[in-house]
This record gives sequence, structure tokens and C-alpha cells, in this order.
Amino acid sequence: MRVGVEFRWSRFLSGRLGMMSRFLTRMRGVIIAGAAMSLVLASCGASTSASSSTTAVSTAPKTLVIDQSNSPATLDPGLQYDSDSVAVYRNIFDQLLRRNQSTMKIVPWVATSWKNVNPTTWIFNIRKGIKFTNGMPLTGADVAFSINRILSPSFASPQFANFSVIQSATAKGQVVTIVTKAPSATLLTYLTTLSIVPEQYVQQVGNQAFDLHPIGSGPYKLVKWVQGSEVLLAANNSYWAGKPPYPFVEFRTVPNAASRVADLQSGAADIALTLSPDNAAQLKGSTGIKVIADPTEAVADLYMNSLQGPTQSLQVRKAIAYAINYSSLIKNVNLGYAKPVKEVLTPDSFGYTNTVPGFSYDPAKARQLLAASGNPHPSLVFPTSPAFSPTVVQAIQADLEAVGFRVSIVTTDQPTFLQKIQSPAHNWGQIRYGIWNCGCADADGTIYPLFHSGSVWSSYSNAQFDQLVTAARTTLNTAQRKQDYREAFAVLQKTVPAVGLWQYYAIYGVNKNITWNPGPQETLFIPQIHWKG
Amino acid sequence: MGRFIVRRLIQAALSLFGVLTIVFFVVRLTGNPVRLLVPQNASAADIARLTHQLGLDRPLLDQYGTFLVNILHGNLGYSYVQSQPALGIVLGRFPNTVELAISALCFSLVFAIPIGFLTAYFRGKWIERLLMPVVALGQSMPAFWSGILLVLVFAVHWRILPSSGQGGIKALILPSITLGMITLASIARISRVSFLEQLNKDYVRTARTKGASTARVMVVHVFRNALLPVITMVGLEAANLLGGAVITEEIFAWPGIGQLTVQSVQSSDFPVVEAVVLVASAVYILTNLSVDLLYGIIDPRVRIKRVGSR
Repeated sequence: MRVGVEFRWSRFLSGRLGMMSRFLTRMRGVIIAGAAMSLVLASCGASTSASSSTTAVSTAPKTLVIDQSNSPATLDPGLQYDSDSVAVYRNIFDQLLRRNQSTMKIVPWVATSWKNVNPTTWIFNIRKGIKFTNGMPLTGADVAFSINRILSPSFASPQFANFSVIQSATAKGQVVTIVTKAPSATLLTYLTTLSIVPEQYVQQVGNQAFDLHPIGSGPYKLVKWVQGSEVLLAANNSYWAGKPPYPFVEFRTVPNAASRVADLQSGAADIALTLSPDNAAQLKGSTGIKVIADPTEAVADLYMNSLQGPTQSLQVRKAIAYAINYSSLIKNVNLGYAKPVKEVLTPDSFGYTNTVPGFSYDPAKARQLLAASGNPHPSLVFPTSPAFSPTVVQAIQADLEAVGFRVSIVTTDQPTFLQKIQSPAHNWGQIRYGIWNCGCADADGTIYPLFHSGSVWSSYSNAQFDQLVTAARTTLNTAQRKQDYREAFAVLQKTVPAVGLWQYYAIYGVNKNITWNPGPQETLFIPQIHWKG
Repeated sequence: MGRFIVRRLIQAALSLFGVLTIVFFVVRLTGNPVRLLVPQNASAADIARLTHQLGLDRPLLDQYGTFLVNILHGNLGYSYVQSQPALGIVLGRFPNTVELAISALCFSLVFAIPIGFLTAYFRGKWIERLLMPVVALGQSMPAFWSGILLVLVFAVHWRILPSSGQGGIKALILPSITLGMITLASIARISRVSFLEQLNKDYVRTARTKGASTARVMVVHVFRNALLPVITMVGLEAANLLGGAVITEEIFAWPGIGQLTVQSVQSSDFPVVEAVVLVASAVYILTNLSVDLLYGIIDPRVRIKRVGSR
């Protein structure tokens, strides 16, 4: 669900700057001695000799400062659903439903209860007593409006795909009825991402003004949004779920990871988001700062084209799966900030099964398979883009070449890369590296779009698999769905259209006084960020 | 003079038209931006739907026609990512770029011209031997190195200046030094050469022999003549700085148009890319025009030549 492209891009750029910064950290003694020259220059400009106002405090700060890698694209929750926008606006708005971060179960939030009266009709009871920060009560009509505007063609919401299964949403008082086009197993999942906007206010000011001056019912309200620079939020002290912990929260846009690290080290920020394993290693020695690394829903995968070229052969695909040194990728490329996986899904997601063995590093077996396939040196085209770590791509290339493959990496920009791999011609090459994160904690958001023969991402066709994932998508019977996914994963294990490489960790640098459990969905909900004096 | 300005403005409009046309077609070579906008699980139908809603499925020439008509109405379209008017987004960021550019330029001029003068005046002496390597160092250090070095020293180690972000003079210091360092070096070198050339001219000897003080010779005669090439250089550098400083803005989290350029190119946000290019090239062209006009004020010979060539 998250378009993770931009943060990976900045990771790419910051990787380079990070290396530089690491080198500089090691050289600090030399640099400080040698920086006497710059000191002379700077003392001319900085003669105000500012005292350090940024020393760490042990009481909770009045303003919690969070460095993020990108500015929120929109603060209208009906538009973008990228991680940088959500991080901010989920604190301004309430969502219809929530997930319990430890059990991953869907729990009440704005909706207190729900039932389906028939497979396509759902009734939601809306909590009474919630107020938007302009004083208006939150009603069923606001919930229905929040859905309908995303479905409206004139609004052109990028989130349409997440709600397209909905036929209609209507309200009567505090009761909302949602009718779906077909039985939908993941409707509730997507409703955990639905933020409720105030119908009357939106219609009064219009969509464009609402985006710049949003009003919600969440724990914080918008004070100031300087595009590209910062968003300042103030506590909504009459929040229905309890008084928010910090009077103010400031989200700063700091695109360069090395600068986010420097902000933490200089005390300018309390939390830095989207750090790399390199940054984490760098923060290890810093006083007053700790690293939180949490496994996420995202899995790094290697996809294979089952429809064209040498990877049409099952033996070749299996050889690829056995040729990759998974533990080396985790240890050397991710510096240990990753977990091995057996499939392309993580245990936190619905539909995960531990009944498939996965693949392990076995170069001898890979060579054997290649010899048996009749072509011991197949040529593979490996398209990639700057959104993906070149280190990973080259490590995979080296592993494959070690068992006899000839691998040529072709790099293009991200839109061209997507255009190519999503083309119905399937002539993009043989293998590609990617990171999948549906943000929905459900196999339906992962293996359906990745491998169903009708999906733009899939270069794989298996009638049995298609039938299983379609059935699992359109039944509300949880046990049946689990069974379908068990079988679907068994088909994937047997036919190898892809291998999971590792489960991604989200890495955060935080002030040591902070306790926070972002969970697999990387939830940044301020009331859950605690300060211990 | 009036006709000269009008002619230059017409040329400027034509250049802008050319630039916008090139950008319009070049960005569209990079594929459909909708693929970056939709959620990962979007189907081909979802992609087609949003492509249609954004008008990106229309024939290219048709889109170009609408684009031109809209420009004449001062409308560069809406950002695909931010759903706000593209020109507004760029103009909102522009003052930050101007702030940083002016500050960096001031920093570099304050040091560059005295360095240029001193290294010329004391040619072969210890001052030149001390200053020239410093200038060379400034020129050869890339911003992503010097910026992080400054942050480590002044923000992380001594904590006397903010590591990133905007707000007040203090926040301007490190980015201005980082950005101004390279400009400083080029201006210092050109002014050194220019001063050297003037110092050897006959009029300097004449002025000295008629008894003018060294200070008077330098300030009244040499400076004025030596500044001409320097102004051209400063004009070019100013135009460059106003076009946004990608790396410096990235390191110091400075919300200028350099950062916006990177983001909008990465996300294929065509309307914003077009607006950035429009604003940056307009600034470039206008800065150069002002330099030409300034030339006439400083050096009457230029003005006469122009009048003569009419």
C-alpha cells in the first residue's frame, strides 16, 4: 500500500553521504584539529556565541521533534497514503478501525462494533461523543463521506485502489452501511487506513483548502505547515481517547540521513525516522541516543520471469533460489538489521504459513540443477533502478555468477523501470529485486498482486494459484482463507516465481528517554511514544 | 536603452518558451508517473483510471496544446503528488532559495574580493602563498563533504550552530558557508586575475606619478576597472545559486527549490518539474539581463557601444 519509492531513493542518496559521514566520524580528531581554518571563518559569522540550548532534558519536552526523510505530500488523508504523509496526518485524524500492534487483530476505534448482515453488506456502529477540533460532532455521515470522496472520480484519489471494492457507503445517524461489489475479505483491513474527515467543513472550504488547513478529530491539530520544511502540531486537549502526551509535536523534513543522525547527536531532534543499518551502526556509540529496530511487514524479494527467457525453466529458477547466500546478505549488506524469511510474507500477516520450507544457500545443488537443465551458463538480464540498493543487486549478481549464471544488470530510472516490468509483454528481463510492503498485514495484499496472472507485477501464470488467491479474496470464512493461502504458498514453493530474501527492519534513532514500539506497520501514533524521565 | 530592454525581454520570452517545450517533452519520456502514485496493489484498471483522470492518456500534442493555453493563463497545472497548483508550490519555496543564495553570495563576496585584491597586490609574497591554497581547497571540496564536516564540527561537537533546518540567522551560517565556498573560490580567482591585469596598466603608473595616494589609485581607478569581469562572474554565480542548490539544501534540510527539484523529478511530478524549470530559467535570464544593464552603469563604454550598434 505504501509507495516506498521515495524513501528508498533518499536511502540511496544518503547511503553515499552516510559513508562520507562515517568516515568523518572516525576522523573526528583529525578534522577538529584541522578545522581551525573553518573556525576562523565561522567565528566571524557566529560571533553571537550562542549557548547550547539543545542539551538533552529528562522531563518530557514541550515539543517533541521528529525528523522525517520527506515532507508530507498531502495532509488530506483522502489523497496520498505514503509513509511520510501518514506519519503526520494519522495524528490529526482518527481512523475507522485500528490494529492491535502486538496481536495484529483489528480492533474498534471510531467504529465501536461491526457485523456483516450478508457477505456483501456491512454495518458499522460509530462511536458517540467524538468531536472534530472545530467543535462539530463526528457522525456516520462523516464516515460515509470520507469513503465516498475517495471513490469519486473527480477527486482522483491515488488511494482509490484500496477502496475500489466498495459499491456504496451510506449513513443513518451513527450507523454506517457499506455494500461491497463482491464479498471482500480485506475490507476491514483497508478500513484501518480510512481517516475520517469532517464532511461539512470539507464541503465548506473545498478540497484544496482542506489539504492545507485540515481539521480532524485526532490527538493533535495542525498549527503550521511550512511546505518542504516543517509541520507543527498542537495537542487536542479534549481528545476523546485521553490527553496527548506532548503539548506540541514538530515534524521536520530532513532528506539526508546523515543530517538526521547529526540532528539527533546535536539534540535538535528527539526521533529520526528512516535510518539505514549504516546510520544505526554510527549511532551505537552516541550518548543519550538509542536505536530502535523493528521488523516490518516489508520483505525484500527476488522475482523471476516465468514467462520469458531461461527462467521459464523451473530448474533454472530453483538454481537461482539455491545460489543466493541469504545469511551473507543479512549479515553483510543489512549489518544484521533483517530477518530470514521462508516466503514472501512475514509472520505478522494474515495467511502466513510455516508449512513451506523456503530455500537455503546450496551452491552445489544450484550447479547440479543448472547442469540438469542442459544449460550450465544461462544468461540473465537483471533490470533495476536507483530506488534499489546497488549493493544488494551486485551481491545477488555475484552469488549467481558464482554458480555459473551470466548476469547483466540494466539500470534505468524508476518510472521507466516500472513501465518495463509492468508491461503486459513481460519482456523486462529474467530477474529483478524488489521490496514489497502492502501495509495491510494480509496475504491478499502481497501474493495476489505479485503473482496472480492478471496483475501488473506478475510474470507468472498458474491456474491453480489464481483460483486459490481469488477464492481467498472473496470469502469471509477465515479458516477457509487460511487453508487457501497454505495451498497457494505450497504452489509458490513448488514453482518458484520468486524467493523471499529477508524481512526488512525499520530503523529509528531516538532519544534514550523514549519508549516506543512502532510495530510491524511502522505506526507513528504520538500517544504511544512515551517519555521516561 | 528602452528598446534594448524590450528586445532582451522578447528574447527572454522566446528562450523560456523553448525551455518549457523541451522540458514538457523530455519529462514525458520517462514513463507514466501514475505507476509511482498508486498503491502497490493497484491493478492495471486502477492505473488506467488515474492516468485518465490526470489526462495523461491523451495524445501528447493534445496535452502540449492544453499546456500552452494554460501557461498563457498563468496556470502550470496541479502537482500530481501534492494536488496543489504547481507554480504556487515552486513560488512558495523560492524565497528560501533567494535567502540562501543572497547569504551565500554575501559570504563569498566579503571574502573573495579582498582575497583577490590581496593575492594580486602581494603577488609572490607570503600572503599570496597562504591564501591561494585556501582558495584552491575551497574550490576542490564538494558540498557533500564540506557541509557534513561543518555540521560535525559546529553542530554535533561544539553545538553552537543548528545542524539543519531553517529559522533565524544562525541556521543560515553553515549552509551559506558550504554553498558560498565554491563561489568564493571562483570569484577570488577571477578578481585576482583582473586586479593583476589592471595593476600593470599605464593609467596606474600615470596616477601614481601625478602623486595620487596608493589608496586613491586602488579605490578610484583600479577597483572600478577591475570589477567588470568580476560582475559578470558574480552574475553567473548568482543565477546559479538562485536556481537552487541541490546538495546543500539536501544536507541542511533547506526547503528551497533545489530540494523540490530532486523530489519532483524522482516522483515524476511533471507540473512541478515544469514550474521549477520555468522559474529557474526566468531567474537565470533576468539575472543575466540585470548584469548587462549594470555593466552599462559601471562602464560607459559598453553603453556607448550599444547605442552605436543600434
